[in-house]
Amino acid sequence: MSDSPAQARRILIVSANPLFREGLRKLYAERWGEQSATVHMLTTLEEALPALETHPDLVIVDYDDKAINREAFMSRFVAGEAPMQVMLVSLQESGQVVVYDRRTMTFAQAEHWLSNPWEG
Amino acid sequence: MNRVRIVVVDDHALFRRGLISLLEEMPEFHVVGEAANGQEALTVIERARPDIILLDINMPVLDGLQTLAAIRKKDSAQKVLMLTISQNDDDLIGAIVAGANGYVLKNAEPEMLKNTILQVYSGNSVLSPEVTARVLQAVRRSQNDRNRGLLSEREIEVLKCLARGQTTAQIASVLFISENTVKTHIRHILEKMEVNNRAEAVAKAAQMDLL
Repeated sequence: MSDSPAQARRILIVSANPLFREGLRKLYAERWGEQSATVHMLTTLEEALPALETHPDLVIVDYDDKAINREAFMSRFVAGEAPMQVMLVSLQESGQVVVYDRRTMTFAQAEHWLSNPWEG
Repeated sequence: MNRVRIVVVDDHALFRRGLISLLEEMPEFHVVGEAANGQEALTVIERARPDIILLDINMPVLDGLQTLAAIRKKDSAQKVLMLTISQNDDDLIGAIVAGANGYVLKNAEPEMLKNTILQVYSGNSVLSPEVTARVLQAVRRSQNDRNRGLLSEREIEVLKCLARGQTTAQIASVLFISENTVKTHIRHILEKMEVNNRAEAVAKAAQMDLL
């Protein structure tokens, strides 16, 4: 039996700053290989909101950018149900990176998860 | 052409690592060191001896302007390109005064950054188009401030009267001073502005934005 190739992760990078966008894309490709991910890059919130409906696995948002409205983005993300991960980063400051990891689980999984929510 | 040896100094790890990946992809460049703050940078620069340093401004421990000053103390010829998100006038003018060879915003396109690095490497000074206008404004402001300091408030009042075509007697009447005092003011104005007559004084004042 041969292993089937893992499905490429779908990553959405939202930033109006090309150096940041391109740098992240390159960094990801270097670390995980070009084949491991499909990286899509957008520059504005208007472009990003519809793209969320395509359920990317990971969304990286440069949230202090003027072209990105953090509140509007987060309310759309919270209202959605897709099990995507969101990483909020800011070029204005280097202190904190906020990661939201929304997972959907069965009740049994949820019970297990509650026994140790911080595992993995 | 030898690859340009670069040190990247930025406390934003994601941005720094991504930028290094991008630069390494370009055949013109070789990143020989990186640092997360100015203090670290001084050690890395000493060891790596880069051609160019890409230096952020807002950093902990030792910020970009302090780091630039420390670099200049040791090596006045070291090429330093500020790469920052800051469009703050104090940072911009501070970097230029401290001897930065260029000032580029982080929202630059990779190709533009590449060209800027190559220009600085070749000995040119480069500013992002977005900040050029601010530098020119600051220079103009500074020149206007200097011009305004050249004459006293009273002399500027007299100059404005001259610009309106008023005679010595009219100026004396308007400003409630004697004609002799008006003449003294005018003599001082001509001396300070290094002109020969009233008409030249008015023309030069207009040029200097004093009216």
